[in-house]
Amino acid sequence: MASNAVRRRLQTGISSILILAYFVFSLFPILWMIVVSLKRQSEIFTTRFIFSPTLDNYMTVLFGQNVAGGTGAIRTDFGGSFINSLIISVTAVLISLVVGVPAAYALARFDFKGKNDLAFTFLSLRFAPELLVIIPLFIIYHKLGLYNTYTGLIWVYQLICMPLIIWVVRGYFEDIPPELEYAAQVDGYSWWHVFFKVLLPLVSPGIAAASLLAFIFAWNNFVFAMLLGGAQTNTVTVSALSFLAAEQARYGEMAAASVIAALPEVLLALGIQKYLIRGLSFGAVKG
Amino acid sequence: MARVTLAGVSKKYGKTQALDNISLDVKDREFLVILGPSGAGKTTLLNLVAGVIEPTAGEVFFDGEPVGHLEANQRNVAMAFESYALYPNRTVYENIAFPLQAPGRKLSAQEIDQKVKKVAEILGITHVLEHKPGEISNGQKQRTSLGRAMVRNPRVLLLDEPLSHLDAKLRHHMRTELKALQSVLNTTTLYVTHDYLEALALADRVAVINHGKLEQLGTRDEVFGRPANTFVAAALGQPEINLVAATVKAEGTELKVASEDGLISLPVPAQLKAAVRALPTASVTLGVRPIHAELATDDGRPQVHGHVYAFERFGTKGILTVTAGQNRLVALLDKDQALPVNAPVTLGLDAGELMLFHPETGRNLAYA
Repeated sequence: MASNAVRRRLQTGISSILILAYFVFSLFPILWMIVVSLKRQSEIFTTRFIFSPTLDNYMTVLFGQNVAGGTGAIRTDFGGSFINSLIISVTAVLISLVVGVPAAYALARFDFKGKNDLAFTFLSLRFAPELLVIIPLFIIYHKLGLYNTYTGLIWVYQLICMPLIIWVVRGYFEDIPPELEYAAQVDGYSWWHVFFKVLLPLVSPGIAAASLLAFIFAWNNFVFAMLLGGAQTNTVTVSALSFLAAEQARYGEMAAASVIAALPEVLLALGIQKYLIRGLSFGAVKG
Repeated sequence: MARVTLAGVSKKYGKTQALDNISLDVKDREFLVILGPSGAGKTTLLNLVAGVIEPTAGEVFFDGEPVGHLEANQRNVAMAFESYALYPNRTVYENIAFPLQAPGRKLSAQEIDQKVKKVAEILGITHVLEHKPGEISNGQKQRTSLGRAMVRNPRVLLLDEPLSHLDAKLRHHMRTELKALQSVLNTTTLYVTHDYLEALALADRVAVINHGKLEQLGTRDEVFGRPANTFVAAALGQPEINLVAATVKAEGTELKVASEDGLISLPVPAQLKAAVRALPTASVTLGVRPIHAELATDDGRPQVHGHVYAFERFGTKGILTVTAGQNRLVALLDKDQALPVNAPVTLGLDAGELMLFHPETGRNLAYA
């Protein structure tokens, strides 16, 4: 009927506009950040979108030169902190995978006392705000000599990464019927072979999605990195803060640092975004 | 090819006794059908033979050797699962080839290709070899699952309700195909089903299982003609056997069993007289199969007078339900009858096929 077709077209049109509006709303801060990173120090506090862009901020951040000039130029070892972030986040995620994926399998397949309590405990680690535990952790870390070490940070990052891996991948394992494992065993494969040849390929979307999320949360972490890490283990999140010096806030350079810091996550997400959507929804939906 | 023996096998899951002291012996190359209702423990039994689960008690033997210490991948059995359990990310070809590529099997890619193609041809799935399980029909999935089990030469072939998820027509077709395949495969086979027609069509012997217990193990004729108890009698045969609570009456030298109201009265067959006399009380359960009940003619058969409750026509047969006093009897007749509801009708029963069961245990008195 004509009115139905018209109504539907109207609905599609309105929803498109609304989606576009939300799109603009949520991405605007990122756009602004890119704009600020390209502005001269003098123009930063204006709201002009049309300006003459400069790469000075990026040069200062990357090469530590005071290209932008002016007083209060800050030198940071951004490259070093980028590498620190990379080492700590990647290792933390890898360790979470090595421990978390088998844990997810155990929680999915085996029945033991306190299983659900244990699973919930893992999840609850994500609920607790970091500030809640940071003081005792700070003291313990100093006592154990873990302050300002890669090991210390990688270890504490497990609080961020492991629950994600366990919960998402567990859902994936639960979706695989046990008969599939039986079939592979009967076909002549030992349990290890079954795990690697049959099960892992089937949960790989979940692993991809969970790893990406875990990486993003680890990379973005500020509190642990700031308070449990020191000068040698500065991550990009902490390092970007140093552009707010006592005399002057160098927003241009800070924005440039943020853009560079966000690049790995964005590139990774774009790379496996197909898996991300499938991975996040599949694991959650159960019959 | 192997002889499979279960000795006192039990399996308990928490508080549930899935299998209770099962002992049976499957001969080499025999086609044994395991028949029972849902939840009887049939799949558990297959899983125990396959080695994917361990028994709580008892042992499994292949050719007299215990296999309890062998993992599923070491037992050289093949299994087709009720839910097919096909690898979803592999094509049909790869699914069937998978067992041939297991570590320890040294087959060249050519040999594997030959075997897979041969099995696919026998099962008629050559045209879907490059598809994934998500893209093919149930019937094709079932045949792929069967192909994966057939492609090696296992010692024992385990088939778990392979036909239960197929529509009626396809089920009939595949049942015929399976029968033809039996001679090609020539392997010891354990076949699980809840459909007695499949059991009777395919089995060398039938094992009837209920609530984890083995009710009877025997040939088709034994389980159908001489059921061990009321459960087995009711499990085989459609419509179900007529079971009536009756009492034993002595009329002179004759022994008779009759229903409470006396409307159903049959002489006790000679071979059962001794067993009937040995009963603790005068009550007994009487069993007559619907195929042994017909519209009465003057041939001296014991007769039952009653009213038509319902007459259902199916294809070539008709199922007549007759109300006789407190009881209802079902008879399998020709479909061309005029039998309106409530019309008076008389049934003639074949007294020679009468079965008598113990009123409490349900045990067939012929086995007493």
